[in-house]
Amino acid sequence: MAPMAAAITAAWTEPAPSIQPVRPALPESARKPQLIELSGVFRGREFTRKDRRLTSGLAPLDALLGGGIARGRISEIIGNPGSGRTSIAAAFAASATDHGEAAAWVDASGAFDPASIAAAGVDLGRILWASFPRGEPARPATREGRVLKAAELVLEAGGFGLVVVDFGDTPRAILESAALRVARAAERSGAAVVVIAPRRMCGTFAAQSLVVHRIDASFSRFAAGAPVIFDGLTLEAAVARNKLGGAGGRAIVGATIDAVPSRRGGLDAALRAGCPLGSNEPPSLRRQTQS
Amino acid sequence: MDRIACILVTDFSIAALVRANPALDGAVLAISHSLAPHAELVAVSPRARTLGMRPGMTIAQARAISSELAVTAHSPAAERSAHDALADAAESVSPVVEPGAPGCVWLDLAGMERIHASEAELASEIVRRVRRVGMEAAVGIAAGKEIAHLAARCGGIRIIEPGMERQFLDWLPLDALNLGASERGGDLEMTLARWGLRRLGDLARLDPDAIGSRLGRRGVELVRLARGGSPAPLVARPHAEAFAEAIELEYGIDNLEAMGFVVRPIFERLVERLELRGLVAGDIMLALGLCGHRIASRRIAVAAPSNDVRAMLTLLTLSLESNPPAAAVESIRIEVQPRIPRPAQSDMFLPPAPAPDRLQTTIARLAALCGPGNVGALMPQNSHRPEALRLDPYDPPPPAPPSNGAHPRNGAAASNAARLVMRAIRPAIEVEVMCLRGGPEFVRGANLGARVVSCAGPWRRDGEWWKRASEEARLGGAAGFVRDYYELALDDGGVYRVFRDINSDRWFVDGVYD
Repeated sequence: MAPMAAAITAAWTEPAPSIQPVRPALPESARKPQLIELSGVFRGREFTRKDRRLTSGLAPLDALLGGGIARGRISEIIGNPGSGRTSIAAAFAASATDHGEAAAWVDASGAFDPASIAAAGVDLGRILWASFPRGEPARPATREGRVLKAAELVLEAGGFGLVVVDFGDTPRAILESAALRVARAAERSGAAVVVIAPRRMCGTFAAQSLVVHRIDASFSRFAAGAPVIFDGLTLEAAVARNKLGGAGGRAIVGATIDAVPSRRGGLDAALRAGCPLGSNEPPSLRRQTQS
Repeated sequence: MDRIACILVTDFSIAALVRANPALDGAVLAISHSLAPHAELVAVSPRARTLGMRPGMTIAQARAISSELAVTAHSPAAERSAHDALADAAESVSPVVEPGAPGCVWLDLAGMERIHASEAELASEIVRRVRRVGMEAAVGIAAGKEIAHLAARCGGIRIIEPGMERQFLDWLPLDALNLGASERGGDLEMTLARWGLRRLGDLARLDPDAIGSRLGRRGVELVRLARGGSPAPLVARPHAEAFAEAIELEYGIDNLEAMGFVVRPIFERLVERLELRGLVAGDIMLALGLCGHRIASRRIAVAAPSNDVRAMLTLLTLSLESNPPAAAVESIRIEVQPRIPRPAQSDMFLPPAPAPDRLQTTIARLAALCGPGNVGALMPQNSHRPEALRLDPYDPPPPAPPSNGAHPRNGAAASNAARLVMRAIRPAIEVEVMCLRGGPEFVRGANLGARVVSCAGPWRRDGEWWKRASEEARLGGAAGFVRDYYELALDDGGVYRVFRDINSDRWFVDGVYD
């Protein structure tokens, strides 16, 4: 039984051409048709993997990441509070739940806002939310250690397509061993792990690191004398680390507060005009006064 | 024809003690009402019996036979748990079960011939299931309760074929009835022996009236039994709605580590009983008997029912850590609510989904790590208050099949813009907002101090108007809420959602757009 189990395990993780036959003792005349049938069964799981990438649904970002974030790996989204990192993570969550996959959101600081996350297209019924009460934990283990432990538990359960680990705004450093355990658990389960933090947390165990910062905040009016409306943010995402492809690329992504195009005048203008990608000085914010 | 099985655990009080404390298995053990040397033994373990100890001996006499003798008191809690476990094992075989005296359970075997090839196989299965709950049992199968009970008293597995009841009763030695167990029974046993009666069949040939006048009612019952007994029907017990195990400790426990050692076997026994019935453990009710004859009870909510002993132990430990008992613990009773596990069938060509049993276990472990109120599906509540939330149990829908066999996202155009989400600040932080020229100009609070660069708002939101005229409002309490919301871009780089509570004229920040 053990060799067969090993053969089946190998078939799940290796690319289709290298799938080993499950029953090598079959007679030659019966082998070929059965191999095709069985390899189709094993490839069925691959059909849902889309080349083992999870897209965000945002064309510039997916192009920057080579098709999306890698499944079975840790990807970091780094940015200060207000940089748009949570919106990008929500885009990946929306894509995962839209695929019918279960996802988890490990929330270290209780910042998960279901109303805006649902408005981003995330199916909240598929999101397993886990948070931690305020205050220091009673045990010596740090909050960050417990956050990673929660992520590890979810990954070990299997069946989740995405696990978002939100460390909050002021996380402490984590142990390398904890990051390694999560990386291994992600690889075993095949889930994409997205870490949201103000700085890189997982070190060498993160396959991709995306640094996000806000270029512009758009406030506009429908007409002169009308109330000022907050449209959204213009974000710049840069690949700081990519073990699976090139690093250093940048992309401009918009994050709108609602989907009504006519109210995104200011934001659309920014997207159409583009942003000088090589600039170190973001444009100053526009000041809107109410008449 | 009725076929009834009787499950009998001999020396039940000893068996219950050994079940609660497996370390006593094989020990020279006896039960007595007192520990005084002249106190009589009530029950002895098989090992003690082989050494020559018998119920009725004094402790001093028994210790003279073996100095290894351990004498302990009755444990009603352990016996009750063992008897319930025996009934659960029986109910896993047949739905019609009647608990009898402690250590004795009858079950109706009607229809069982469709599941088991023979009654011998069925009886072996019963013995195996009773062993799973920590006891060794004898099984008797016959056409009636009393005959099945007598068959079980013979030990091992004894099946009385239809039509052989008379022959069995005629053969049954009077020794098997254990008439000497009670004081009056001892006289009866000697009398029957003096008369030269050795088997139950010998009694059947005697006149019941004559026996009654010489031996009393007990003698009449014996004659009736010898002639086949009365066909009393099986009275089924209702299905158990709760599973409980209890133990009494020899000394009080006041530290969590020792509690863990004691509680783990309790959970293991409960899980064994639940698994026999195809159930999983839901909420846990814990009752601790404390020094000073006090009882401390608590209910531990389980986010996802499971039979994971480690997760249940962790939940209980967390509960005791957060709210430790006021005194040392002398007895423990744990009751779990049985739940039906959630079935699911996966599909090879759909995205993988968490397996239900593993998901339940994971949620239970997460609840132990994060707290029961911090794991689940967080949903916005149908309320005008933006901060109104509810936490639903996590129960994801099954993966939906892709339309037309294609991937659901195939062909869907990717966009250039994401939807902006907000990071909630819970609870909302009070801030100072300086207003000039009719709008906010500067915001200052804990970890926040910046000039307003851009401002959108105010947007009025109010609700719970019915509270404005309430008694609570008249007394100065909450009178509904009326708030003006702003979206403020500050020069620290963030865009915050800030609101002014009209009732109290205070400012709060409750989110940052990220």
